[in-house]
Amino acid sequence: MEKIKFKRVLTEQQGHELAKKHIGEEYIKTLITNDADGYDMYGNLLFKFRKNVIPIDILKAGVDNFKDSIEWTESRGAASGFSGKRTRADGSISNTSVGAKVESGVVGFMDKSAMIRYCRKTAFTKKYFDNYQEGLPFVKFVDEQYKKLCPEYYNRQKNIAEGTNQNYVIPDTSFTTVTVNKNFRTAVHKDAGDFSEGFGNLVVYREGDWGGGYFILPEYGVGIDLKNTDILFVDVHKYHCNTGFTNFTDDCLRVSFVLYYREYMYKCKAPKDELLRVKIDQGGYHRL
Amino acid sequence: MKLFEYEFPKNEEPKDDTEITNALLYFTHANRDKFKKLCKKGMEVEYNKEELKTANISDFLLYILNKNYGEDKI
Repeated sequence: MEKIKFKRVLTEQQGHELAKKHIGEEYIKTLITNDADGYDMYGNLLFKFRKNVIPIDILKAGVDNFKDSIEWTESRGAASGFSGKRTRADGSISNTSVGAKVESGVVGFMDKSAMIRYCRKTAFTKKYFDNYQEGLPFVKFVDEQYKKLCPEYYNRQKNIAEGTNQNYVIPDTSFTTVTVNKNFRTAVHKDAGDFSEGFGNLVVYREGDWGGGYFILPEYGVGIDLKNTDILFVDVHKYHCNTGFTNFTDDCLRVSFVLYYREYMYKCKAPKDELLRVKIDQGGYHRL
Repeated sequence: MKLFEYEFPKNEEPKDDTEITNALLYFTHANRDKFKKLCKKGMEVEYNKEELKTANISDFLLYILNKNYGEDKI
């Protein structure tokens, strides 16, 4: 297994200027296709990549059971290549922030947001609870690999997950949430909303004979070729994206999974207490 | 005490199967204000000072409707 140190090839400012842009393979100086650990010049871990780790039946269980979470959405922000305010049909500007339309879903649990003001199961988890449960072996397998390969990050994340009300934690894991993306070429972005002391967990499922779709850390000129059964642990708080897909026909498929702990889930109360809180926040006597 | 505290004590609260949903109400602006005023007035009649701390429209409407039209009408 190779340990590689990467020099910055872009300054922070140059990285920042790429945000929300779709970039190509010209930003890759080193393409990683085998097991490797990547560090910056200060010894900070950038990624750990392992090939052929996830048994195909476990990966397929994740794909088959979580695929129904995927829908067209405008909620992926900068990763979609656009984030701004929605323009209403009459031309006025709404306060709601939206991104470009992409196919994506969320499995597990969410904390309160501007639109939904209480912690909860995601719509998918509520509606397809049996599928959610059938897909758990996949989530648990990734969690075990995370523990094995990135123990420092894992332990911090597991600690906060154990301190969280268990109604909002994927059982026996350090995760609250799985984002599932279909054929989604992400623009340059940094992840937001996940636990800042944790590390990104990425898995890709592919169908069809297509190329490209490399995961890139453009500031370090490194690209990673994720194939079926591979796993990538990566610092998603650095700018990252995917390159475009080549020879991608209608029967091709790329499903990516991002497993994480949502940053503020430790604040979530038990559902019955969330209900009382939201009732008082939204229509309490003292607000009338 | 550490400057940054990473230790989160284990959450031992029992699992809770409460599912939250909502029912929307639609008003004119004038009627919304009237609705809120009437709810507030009604709560002051129906609840004591301590109960008013957690009183809210959702529980109040259900309480009033149940009291007047529910199966357990007094």
